[in-house]
Amino acid sequence: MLNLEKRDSLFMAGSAIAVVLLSVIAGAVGASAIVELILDLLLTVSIFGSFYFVYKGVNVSGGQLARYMTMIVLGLGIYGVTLVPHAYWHILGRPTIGPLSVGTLSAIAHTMTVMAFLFVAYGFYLFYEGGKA
Amino acid sequence: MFEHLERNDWYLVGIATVITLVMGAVGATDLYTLQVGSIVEFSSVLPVFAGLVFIYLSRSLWGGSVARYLEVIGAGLAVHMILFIPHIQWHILGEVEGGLPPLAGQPPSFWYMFFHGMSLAAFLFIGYGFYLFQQETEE
Repeated sequence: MLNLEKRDSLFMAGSAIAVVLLSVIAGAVGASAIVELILDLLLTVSIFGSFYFVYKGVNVSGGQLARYMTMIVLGLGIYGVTLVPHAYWHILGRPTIGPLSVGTLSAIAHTMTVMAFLFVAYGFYLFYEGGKA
Repeated sequence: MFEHLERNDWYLVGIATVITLVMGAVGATDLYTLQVGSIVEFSSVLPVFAGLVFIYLSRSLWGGSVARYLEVIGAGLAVHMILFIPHIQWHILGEVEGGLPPLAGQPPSFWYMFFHGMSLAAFLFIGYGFYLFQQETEE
Protein backbone atom coordinates (compact mmCIF):
# COMPACT_ATOMS: atom_id res chain seq x y z
CA MET A 1 0.00 0.00 0.00
CA LEU A 2 1.55 3.26 -1.09
CA ASN A 3 1.52 6.45 0.95
CA LEU A 4 1.51 8.62 -2.17
CA GLU A 5 -1.25 11.18 -2.43
CA LYS A 6 -3.29 11.61 -5.56
CA ARG A 7 -1.47 14.78 -6.63
CA ASP A 8 1.91 13.00 -6.29
CA SER A 9 0.81 10.27 -8.69
CA LEU A 10 -0.79 12.78 -11.05
CA PHE A 11 2.35 14.91 -11.10
CA MET A 12 4.57 11.94 -11.89
CA ALA A 13 2.28 10.32 -14.45
CA GLY A 14 1.67 13.73 -16.08
CA SER A 15 5.44 14.37 -16.36
CA ALA A 16 6.02 10.97 -17.97
CA ILE A 17 3.21 11.54 -20.49
CA ALA A 18 4.54 15.02 -21.27
CA VAL A 19 8.01 13.59 -21.97
CA VAL A 20 6.59 10.98 -24.36
CA LEU A 21 4.57 13.65 -26.21
CA LEU A 22 7.62 15.92 -26.42
CA SER A 23 9.66 12.98 -27.72
CA VAL A 24 7.17 12.35 -30.51
CA ILE A 25 7.32 16.05 -31.44
CA ALA A 26 11.14 16.03 -31.27
CA GLY A 27 11.19 12.93 -33.48
CA ALA A 28 8.99 14.65 -36.04
CA VAL A 29 10.94 17.92 -36.20
CA GLY A 30 14.39 16.32 -35.91
CA ALA A 31 15.80 17.69 -32.66
CA SER A 32 19.58 17.49 -32.15
CA ALA A 33 22.28 17.11 -29.53
CA ILE A 34 21.48 20.57 -28.17
CA VAL A 35 18.35 19.02 -26.63
CA GLU A 36 20.60 16.79 -24.56
CA LEU A 37 22.63 19.70 -23.25
CA ILE A 38 19.58 21.83 -22.37
CA LEU A 39 17.83 18.96 -20.59
CA ASP A 40 21.00 18.01 -18.71
CA LEU A 41 21.37 21.64 -17.61
CA LEU A 42 17.77 21.61 -16.37
CA LEU A 43 18.53 18.37 -14.55
CA THR A 44 21.40 20.11 -12.78
CA VAL A 45 19.04 22.93 -11.82
CA SER A 46 16.54 20.41 -10.44
CA ILE A 47 19.29 18.84 -8.31
CA PHE A 48 20.16 22.29 -6.98
CA GLY A 49 16.45 22.41 -6.08
CA SER A 50 16.80 19.19 -4.07
CA PHE A 51 19.89 20.59 -2.40
CA TYR A 52 18.09 23.80 -1.48
CA PHE A 53 15.07 22.01 0.00
CA VAL A 54 17.27 19.74 2.08
CA TYR A 55 19.37 22.70 3.20
CA LYS A 56 16.25 24.57 4.33
CA GLY A 57 14.52 21.53 5.82
CA VAL A 58 17.58 20.28 7.64
CA ASN A 59 18.19 23.62 9.32
CA VAL A 60 14.69 23.44 10.79
CA SER A 61 14.45 19.73 11.60
CA GLY A 62 18.01 18.90 12.75
CA GLY A 63 18.61 15.49 14.32
CA GLN A 64 19.15 12.15 12.62
CA LEU A 65 16.82 12.84 9.70
CA ALA A 66 19.09 15.80 8.88
CA ARG A 67 22.08 13.47 8.72
CA TYR A 68 20.39 11.02 6.32
CA MET A 69 19.06 13.78 4.09
CA THR A 70 22.45 15.53 3.95
CA MET A 71 24.19 12.31 2.92
CA ILE A 72 21.63 11.62 0.17
CA VAL A 73 21.74 15.11 -1.26
CA LEU A 74 25.55 15.21 -1.10
CA GLY A 75 25.57 12.23 -3.49
CA LEU A 76 22.94 13.78 -5.74
CA GLY A 77 24.83 17.08 -5.66
CA ILE A 78 28.06 15.47 -6.88
CA TYR A 79 26.10 13.88 -9.73
CA GLY A 80 24.44 17.21 -10.53
CA VAL A 81 27.65 19.22 -10.56
CA THR A 82 29.59 16.72 -12.69
CA LEU A 83 26.82 15.73 -15.12
CA VAL A 84 26.99 18.62 -17.61
CA PRO A 85 30.82 18.76 -17.94
CA HIS A 86 30.81 14.97 -18.18
CA ALA A 87 28.07 14.85 -20.88
CA TYR A 88 29.70 17.73 -22.76
CA TRP A 89 33.03 15.91 -22.74
CA HIS A 90 31.29 12.94 -24.40
CA ILE A 91 29.60 15.27 -26.93
CA LEU A 92 33.00 16.76 -27.81
CA GLY A 93 34.23 13.25 -28.62
CA ARG A 94 36.13 12.60 -25.35
CA PRO A 95 39.21 14.83 -25.78
CA THR A 96 42.28 14.64 -23.51
CA ILE A 97 42.55 17.54 -21.06
CA GLY A 98 46.10 18.75 -20.35
CA PRO A 99 48.17 15.78 -19.17
CA LEU A 100 45.09 13.68 -18.40
CA SER A 101 44.47 10.80 -20.80
CA VAL A 102 41.07 9.68 -22.04
CA GLY A 103 41.34 6.61 -19.80
CA THR A 104 42.06 8.69 -16.69
CA LEU A 105 39.23 11.12 -17.38
CA SER A 106 36.80 8.32 -18.15
CA ALA A 107 37.78 6.37 -15.03
CA ILE A 108 37.51 9.43 -12.77
CA ALA A 109 34.17 10.59 -14.22
CA HIS A 110 32.49 7.21 -14.06
CA THR A 111 33.93 6.18 -10.69
CA MET A 112 32.77 9.51 -9.30
CA THR A 113 29.24 8.78 -10.50
CA VAL A 114 29.32 5.37 -8.83
CA MET A 115 30.56 6.97 -5.59
CA ALA A 116 27.90 9.68 -5.78
CA PHE A 117 25.14 7.08 -5.89
CA LEU A 118 26.92 5.08 -3.20
CA PHE A 119 26.46 8.12 -0.92
CA VAL A 120 22.76 8.16 -1.88
CA ALA A 121 22.43 4.44 -1.06
CA TYR A 122 24.30 4.95 2.23
CA GLY A 123 21.93 7.78 3.16
CA PHE A 124 18.92 5.52 2.63
CA TYR A 125 20.69 2.74 4.55
CA LEU A 126 21.06 5.16 7.48
CA PHE A 127 17.36 5.95 7.05
CA TYR A 128 16.57 2.25 7.36
CA GLU A 129 18.83 1.76 10.40
CA GLY A 130 17.39 4.85 12.05
CA GLY A 131 13.86 3.60 11.51
CA LYS A 132 14.56 0.36 13.35
CA ALA A 133 15.49 2.10 16.60
CA MET B 1 23.83 21.18 6.88
CA PHE B 2 27.11 19.25 6.70
CA GLU B 3 27.57 19.65 10.46
CA HIS B 4 24.96 16.89 10.78
CA LEU B 5 27.30 14.33 9.23
CA GLU B 6 29.16 12.08 11.64
CA ARG B 7 32.75 10.90 11.58
CA ASN B 8 31.89 7.63 9.78
CA ASP B 9 30.13 9.56 7.03
CA TRP B 10 33.23 11.65 6.40
CA TYR B 11 35.36 8.49 6.33
CA LEU B 12 33.14 7.17 3.56
CA VAL B 13 33.52 10.43 1.63
CA GLY B 14 37.31 10.21 2.10
CA ILE B 15 37.51 6.58 0.98
CA ALA B 16 35.33 7.35 -2.06
CA THR B 17 37.68 10.21 -3.02
CA VAL B 18 40.73 7.97 -2.72
CA ILE B 19 39.07 5.20 -4.79
CA THR B 20 38.19 7.76 -7.48
CA LEU B 21 41.79 9.02 -7.65
CA VAL B 22 43.21 5.48 -7.71
CA MET B 23 40.82 4.62 -10.54
CA GLY B 24 42.07 7.74 -12.36
CA ALA B 25 45.61 6.36 -12.12
CA VAL B 26 44.43 2.91 -13.29
CA GLY B 27 42.67 4.66 -16.18
CA ALA B 28 46.05 5.83 -17.47
CA THR B 29 47.25 2.23 -17.81
CA ASP B 30 46.43 -0.69 -20.13
CA LEU B 31 44.40 -2.31 -17.35
CA TYR B 32 41.56 0.11 -18.05
CA THR B 33 40.23 -1.46 -21.25
CA LEU B 34 37.04 -0.43 -22.99
CA GLN B 35 35.30 -3.35 -21.33
CA VAL B 36 36.46 -2.40 -17.82
CA GLY B 37 35.36 1.16 -18.55
CA SER B 38 31.87 -0.02 -19.52
CA ILE B 39 31.58 -2.12 -16.38
CA VAL B 40 32.51 0.89 -14.21
CA GLU B 41 30.07 3.10 -16.10
CA PHE B 42 27.14 0.68 -15.82
CA SER B 43 27.87 -0.23 -12.20
CA SER B 44 26.44 3.09 -11.04
CA VAL B 45 23.01 1.43 -11.19
CA LEU B 46 24.05 -0.95 -8.36
CA PRO B 47 24.08 1.64 -5.55
CA VAL B 48 20.84 3.09 -6.96
CA PHE B 49 19.28 -0.34 -6.66
CA ALA B 50 20.61 -0.68 -3.10
CA GLY B 51 19.11 2.73 -2.32
CA LEU B 52 15.73 1.53 -3.61
CA VAL B 53 15.90 -1.56 -1.41
CA PHE B 54 16.56 0.60 1.67
CA ILE B 55 13.76 2.97 0.67
CA TYR B 56 11.44 -0.01 0.38
CA LEU B 57 12.47 -1.29 3.82
CA SER B 58 12.33 2.19 5.40
CA ARG B 59 8.82 2.96 4.21
CA SER B 60 7.04 0.66 6.60
CA LEU B 61 9.40 1.51 9.51
CA TRP B 62 8.72 5.23 9.27
CA GLY B 63 5.24 5.27 7.76
CA GLY B 64 3.09 8.38 7.27
CA SER B 65 4.48 11.44 5.52
CA VAL B 66 8.07 10.17 5.68
CA ALA B 67 6.95 7.11 3.70
CA ARG B 68 5.24 9.45 1.26
CA TYR B 69 8.33 11.47 0.38
CA LEU B 70 10.52 8.37 0.37
CA GLU B 71 8.16 6.89 -2.22
CA VAL B 72 8.32 10.01 -4.41
CA ILE B 73 12.14 10.02 -4.24
CA GLY B 74 12.16 6.26 -4.86
CA ALA B 75 9.99 6.67 -7.96
CA GLY B 76 12.52 9.17 -9.33
CA LEU B 77 15.48 6.89 -8.57
CA ALA B 78 13.65 3.93 -10.16
CA VAL B 79 13.03 5.85 -13.41
CA HIS B 80 16.69 6.91 -13.46
CA MET B 81 17.89 3.35 -12.81
CA ILE B 82 15.65 1.61 -15.36
CA LEU B 83 16.54 3.99 -18.21
CA PHE B 84 20.24 4.41 -17.40
CA ILE B 85 21.50 1.23 -19.11
CA PRO B 86 19.53 1.52 -22.42
CA HIS B 87 20.32 5.26 -22.47
CA ILE B 88 24.09 4.85 -22.01
CA GLN B 89 24.16 1.81 -24.29
CA TRP B 90 22.59 4.00 -26.98
CA HIS B 91 25.26 6.68 -26.51
CA ILE B 92 28.04 4.07 -26.63
CA LEU B 93 26.59 2.67 -29.88
CA GLY B 94 26.60 6.23 -31.20
CA GLU B 95 30.30 6.61 -30.41
CA VAL B 96 31.18 3.25 -31.97
CA GLU B 97 29.08 3.78 -35.10
CA GLY B 98 29.94 7.46 -35.50
CA GLY B 99 26.35 8.62 -35.06
CA LEU B 100 23.43 7.83 -32.79
CA PRO B 101 21.29 5.00 -34.21
CA PRO B 102 17.49 4.88 -34.41
CA LEU B 103 15.82 2.51 -31.93
CA ALA B 104 12.51 0.64 -32.17
CA GLY B 105 11.60 2.49 -35.36
CA GLN B 106 12.06 5.91 -33.75
CA PRO B 107 14.69 8.40 -35.01
CA PRO B 108 17.58 9.61 -32.78
CA SER B 109 15.80 12.96 -32.30
CA PHE B 110 12.98 11.10 -30.50
CA TRP B 111 15.46 9.36 -28.18
CA TYR B 112 17.38 12.52 -27.39
CA MET B 113 14.19 13.95 -25.94
CA PHE B 114 12.94 10.73 -24.42
CA PHE B 115 16.07 9.65 -22.52
CA HIS B 116 17.07 13.10 -21.32
CA GLY B 117 13.50 14.21 -20.69
CA MET B 118 12.87 11.13 -18.56
CA SER B 119 16.12 11.72 -16.66
CA LEU B 120 14.99 15.25 -15.99
CA ALA B 121 11.55 14.02 -14.89
CA ALA B 122 13.24 11.49 -12.57
CA PHE B 123 15.23 14.21 -10.81
CA LEU B 124 12.19 16.48 -10.69
CA PHE B 125 10.38 13.72 -8.78
CA ILE B 126 13.33 13.52 -6.40
CA GLY B 127 13.30 17.30 -5.97
CA TYR B 128 9.56 17.17 -5.31
CA GLY B 129 10.16 14.51 -2.62
CA PHE B 130 12.66 16.79 -0.86
CA TYR B 131 10.24 19.69 -1.27
CA LEU B 132 7.59 17.66 0.59
CA PHE B 133 10.13 16.99 3.33
CA GLN B 134 11.00 20.67 3.58
CA GLN B 135 7.33 21.70 3.68
CA GLU B 136 6.73 19.31 6.53
CA THR B 137 9.51 20.81 8.62
CA GLU B 138 7.72 24.15 8.47
CA GLU B 139 4.56 22.81 10.05
